[in-house]
Amino acid sequence: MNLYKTIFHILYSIVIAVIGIFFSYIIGNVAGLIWGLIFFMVTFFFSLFVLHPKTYPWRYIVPAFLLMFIFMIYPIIYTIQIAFTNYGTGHILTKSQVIEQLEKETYLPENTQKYEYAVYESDNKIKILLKDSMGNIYKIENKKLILISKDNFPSEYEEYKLISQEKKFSKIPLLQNLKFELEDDSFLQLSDLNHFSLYKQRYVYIPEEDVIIDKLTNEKLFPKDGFFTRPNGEKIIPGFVEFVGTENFVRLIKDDRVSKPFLRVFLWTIFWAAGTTLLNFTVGLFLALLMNDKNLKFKGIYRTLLIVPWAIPAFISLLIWVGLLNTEVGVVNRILFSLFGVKIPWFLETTWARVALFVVNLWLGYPYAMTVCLGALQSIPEELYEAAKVDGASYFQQLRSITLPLLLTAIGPLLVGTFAFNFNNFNVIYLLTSGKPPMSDISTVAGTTDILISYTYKLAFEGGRGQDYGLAATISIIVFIIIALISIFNFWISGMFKREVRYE
Amino acid sequence: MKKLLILSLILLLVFTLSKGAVPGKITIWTSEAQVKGLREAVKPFVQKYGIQVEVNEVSFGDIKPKFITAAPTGEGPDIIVGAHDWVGELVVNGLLLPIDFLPQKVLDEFTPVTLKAMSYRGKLYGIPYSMEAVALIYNKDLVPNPPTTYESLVRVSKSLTKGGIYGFLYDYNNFYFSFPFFSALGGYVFKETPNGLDPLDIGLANEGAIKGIEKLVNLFKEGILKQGVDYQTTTSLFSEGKLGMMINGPWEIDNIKKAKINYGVAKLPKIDGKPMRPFVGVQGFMLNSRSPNLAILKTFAIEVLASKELELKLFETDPRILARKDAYRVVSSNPDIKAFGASAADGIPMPNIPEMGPVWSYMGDALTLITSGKKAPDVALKEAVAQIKDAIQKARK
Repeated sequence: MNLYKTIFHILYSIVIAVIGIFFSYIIGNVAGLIWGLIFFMVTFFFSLFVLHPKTYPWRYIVPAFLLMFIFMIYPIIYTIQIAFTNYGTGHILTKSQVIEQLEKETYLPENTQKYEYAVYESDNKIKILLKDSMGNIYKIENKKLILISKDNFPSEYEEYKLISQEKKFSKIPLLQNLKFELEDDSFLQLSDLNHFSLYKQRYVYIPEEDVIIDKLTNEKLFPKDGFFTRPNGEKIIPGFVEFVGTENFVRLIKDDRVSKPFLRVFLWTIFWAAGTTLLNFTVGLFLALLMNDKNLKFKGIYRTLLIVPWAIPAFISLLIWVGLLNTEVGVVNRILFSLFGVKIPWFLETTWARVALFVVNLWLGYPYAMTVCLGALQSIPEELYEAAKVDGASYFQQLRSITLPLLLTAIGPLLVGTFAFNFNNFNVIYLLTSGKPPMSDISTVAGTTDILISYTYKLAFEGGRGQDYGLAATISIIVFIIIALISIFNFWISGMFKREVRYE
Repeated sequence: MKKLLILSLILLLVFTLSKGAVPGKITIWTSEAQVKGLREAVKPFVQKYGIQVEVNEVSFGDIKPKFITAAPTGEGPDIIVGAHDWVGELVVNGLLLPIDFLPQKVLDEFTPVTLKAMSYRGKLYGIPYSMEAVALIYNKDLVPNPPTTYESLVRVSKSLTKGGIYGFLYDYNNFYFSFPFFSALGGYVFKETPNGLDPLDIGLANEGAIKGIEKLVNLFKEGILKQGVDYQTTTSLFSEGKLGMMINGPWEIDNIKKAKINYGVAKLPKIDGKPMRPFVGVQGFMLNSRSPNLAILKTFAIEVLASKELELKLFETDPRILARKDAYRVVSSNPDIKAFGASAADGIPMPNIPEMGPVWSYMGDALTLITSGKKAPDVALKEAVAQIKDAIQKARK
């Protein structure tokens, strides 16, 4: 039996090791050598843990830590890193990639020529002959083109055999990497499938001085603000990613598009997060109390039906709600109009847009609240109620003195979590109102139903010039700090840090 | 079992991610509509040169973001099929190859507006194959003769609008659809200069633009346009046969046909004798500047991508207004194509510079304020333009 176990363990670790090496290789290629090595070390130790009985518990802890690192810590580190760079539209390549790309740029020298070519092969080695427009045939030797005949391409050349026209193209992967340098700094390169052409390299990078020289104009281009820049200030695109220090933070603080509506957006965000959390949990608790009633029949059916909004992907139900609440043709307004003769301007007036948000988020959120409350209710010991009944407590007295306090200790942390979730509930805001209607009294990109995260999304991705990931990362750090502070405050005020939850 | 599943999913992800350019083989990313036509159209090239061409389907909305992530690391395809308004962003990111190798003779075959749309700072960065623009789509059962002037549009719509029937609606808070009102009397987004578009010369609050938007507001005063109407409302009312006319594009025709509406397509009406000029969108092929196959791509571009045969092949599965004049002449017997083509001929290429971002959001807000009656057109537009300029100046260059 033990033998089988050992064999199994060895096989198991081999499988993990193989997978580990494979992924290390891929990750090493994609993300850089260090990450590949880290990944390799992790799988290596993981295999060790499986083999050695003393390290048994690590078997379960390490994967958990690993996943936490990959999905939580790494993105946070990455975000913080991005916040100090200019990463965004116009600056997505690294400096070395930009240099590599600029060095590929060519211009045509005055004596430019297009040559047809023929490929000769012998023992997997190839040679090339060129033919100009006059029909002269050249070979390339010692950085020179040497005329060898004025006829057609010979069928054999220095014991190399001519490859037929059709087969020639199978050598393209090889041919397109060829670069024949000639004397005057120009070079011959495959320009299309049928021709070699004469080029000159336009930009040359000089690492010692960290400048690029433009051979065409003889200018020095210095790196400045993420671009190589000409003396006259003209920037060469593409720009590159570079470290910009606290520039993003300074920009954010100084920008009056941020400071002017900030307080309003912030207050609405708090109101929204607190309001929708309370509303959802009140309704959820009410339904949970109903569901918990022993006299209720067909509980299963009700419960299933009440969970339905949770089962539909929020994206879909949000878009359906947009249609339902349409002012002119939405079902809700049609019904209201036929009953009361009113058409509510959902999404057009601030107040109604906010009401719509609360209502729709209630629809999306109450099943969660209800499920949580149901679970908590069932964990409250029955004896307490019996004792209360003996003492003659009414239903509401029981609710106030037993159910609610015990419930709150259980769901308190979840309330804080839900609050933080709604504080950042981008989907609901963006898909339902996109922050509209716009603020009419101050000029800003923020709408009256924008919460911090949707508003800053607009600033970073719709507010300027393409995507500004650097700014977006900065904003998310700040929003993170705000949420962290509020959550700590919430925990503190509810005494969650001190009190242990007990059910005796 | 579950672990195995997750593992194979990760493996799958890794493999699908790395489906980029391979030396000696052309990889194309395109959306569903063109896959079949492209695979057909590249066959002669594959036969002639023995070079493989792989056409991968990527959903349209994913092509640009995926390309921006994949191309810098060398994982991008050689060619993407995309919309011309991506050009500016992709070029400033250094991801597109300038198309300076097409012979003038070939370029002359294209409708000029398509080449202009695909250019950035005076250089061509894409090979156009089709274009699109909005036009007036009308229900022939409700509107036998489409109006050709603003005044008749008002008259016809007013007489239709009653008892659950609407005369004329469209997604008016969307700047894309409302642009013809701006452009008719002289509004423009960015001023054209020989060096490309000038992002700080914005003509969306000039006299012509304000006059045009006052005409739009007038449609509310006349009771024709209604509050709270958006794209979904417009199209669903039209499909139910309850809407006489709308401003919409060729992409909606399929749905209208499915709804069995007796429809027609006409040019947008004239305002004060001047045409309402819609935005023109152009689709085309863009080449990856970091592709390892530049030499092959140049031949492929000339022989396949810019050819009449390719456009006609693509037309078979996905009818659009073709960019080559000779190809367009072949297909213009189709009345819808002809009508949308006529509308596009009046049009202005949608600006393709990255500075267009704030224009969409601020003009959308301005239109919302104007159409809901909260602000007068001149006030809202002037404020919006000031904000756009501010945003562009504050953005990182």
